[in-house]
Amino acid sequence: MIRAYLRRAWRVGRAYYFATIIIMLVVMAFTIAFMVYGASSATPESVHGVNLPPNLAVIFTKYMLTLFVSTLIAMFVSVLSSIIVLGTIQADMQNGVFEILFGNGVSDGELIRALFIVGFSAFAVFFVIAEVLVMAMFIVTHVSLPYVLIIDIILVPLSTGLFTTGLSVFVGLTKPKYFRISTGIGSTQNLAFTVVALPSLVILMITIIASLSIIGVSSIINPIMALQSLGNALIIASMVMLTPTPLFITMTHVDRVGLVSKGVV
Amino acid sequence: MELMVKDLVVGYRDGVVIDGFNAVFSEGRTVVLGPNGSGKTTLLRAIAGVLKPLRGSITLDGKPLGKGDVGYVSHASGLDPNMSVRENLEFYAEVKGVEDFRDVVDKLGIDDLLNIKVGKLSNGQRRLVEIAVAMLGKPRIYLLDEPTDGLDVFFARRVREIVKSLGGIVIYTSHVPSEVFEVADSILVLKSGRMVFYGDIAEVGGAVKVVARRERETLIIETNIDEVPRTIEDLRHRGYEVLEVRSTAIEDLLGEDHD
Repeated sequence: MIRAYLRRAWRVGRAYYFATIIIMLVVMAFTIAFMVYGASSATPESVHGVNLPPNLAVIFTKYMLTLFVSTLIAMFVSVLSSIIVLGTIQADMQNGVFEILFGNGVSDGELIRALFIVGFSAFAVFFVIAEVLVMAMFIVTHVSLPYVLIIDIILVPLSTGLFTTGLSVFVGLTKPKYFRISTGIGSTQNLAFTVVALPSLVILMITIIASLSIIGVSSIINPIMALQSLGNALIIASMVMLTPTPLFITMTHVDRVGLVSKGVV
Repeated sequence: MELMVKDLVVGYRDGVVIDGFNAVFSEGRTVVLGPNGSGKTTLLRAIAGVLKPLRGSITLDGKPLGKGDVGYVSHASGLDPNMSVRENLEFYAEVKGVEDFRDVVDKLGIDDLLNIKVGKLSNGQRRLVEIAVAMLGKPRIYLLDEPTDGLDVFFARRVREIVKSLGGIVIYTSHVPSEVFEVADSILVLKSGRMVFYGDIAEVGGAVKVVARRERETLIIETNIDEVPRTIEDLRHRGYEVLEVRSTAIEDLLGEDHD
């Protein structure tokens, strides 16, 4: 069952979201390239608007863009995996696949396992693509980074992506009504995608706001130290996000009525 | 072989639909009749294991139903429109642990559909594929939820012929009383989630009116309920198309709210 479902989910995902996935991969590649190029090409002459000594401003810009890259990758990888997971669930609801699977003896446990494997396989693929891309860019452009930022580039997307994937399966199977929530004015809203995209968006926004805030108070604190602390904080946040991820597997229960009702509330 | 449904209570978020249902199904075809909203689909969903009962038990020869015991055709297609018939069958064959689906394809004569995307099939062709999915693994119980609903005369007849060829316990829901006479060995009438009749067709009793047409000629025959299958066969043999089979006794069982 699991192997069949995995193969089918990728087929379904490919059929329904191929264009979206390709566009997002292209945007991700372009964003990574742009940010890493910006970090590598920063010079005392090209850095403006940062109220710091030129050499410090260059280092600050490199570190800040690196943190942005790590959180942007986290967001892209998370959203891409959730598209596969939630898209598969939504398509299977619409096509009545769950009803036929349950009617042919597939258990809740089998379905939960199958969808977690679908989700984690999707995450693994997108994570590897993103990491290979970003590492290649850093190597090509000879950007040297402190140890903490290299960990950020790997750990932040890893933990955010795993968390989001687990959350996607949890929301999709336990709360299928989130796919179509009535807005009260005659239309419906897909809350499921919003819910699962939120953690990675919050991390990205916090990183951007914190980095820009550091510039504002750079006269009273060491901005480089502050950025490295932000990097450390992101590592801690990543560890915190990783902790509940396995719990999604045990917390997920299958709302059979919701899944066979085409998500209409 | 005996499928026993005991004290079954099934419901959704907004309340109980089937309340205290008891029945024993033996080998043969049972048509479950009932008006819309009577609980036919919910009953089948519960027996199939799609919905977990709030109370009660469903056993086959004294044991809970296992994987592969049931072949289920529902209103929900279960087929992915972006995949070919072959890919859909491969998927369900793997889910059911069946190595080859060739014999089912041959039996239903759908070989020519294998490479067509499900989204391009007609309703009738799609229903044949759905039945093929249900037949994979030779289940001992078939649950068919209004399988002729929305089909033209040709495919509806073909589906009924297939149903008649199925072995084991077949439970077939319909809201069209005339289908009973073409498919059923026994009849079960549901009203508001409760069983109001379950027995052989002959037990229903009463006269039956068969309306048939050949070109511009319309024929109305009144006959006994146990003579209906033979009458239909005879009319078809003579080139008539059977338009309607009306049993006042069955309509009385279904009640006034039945359309």
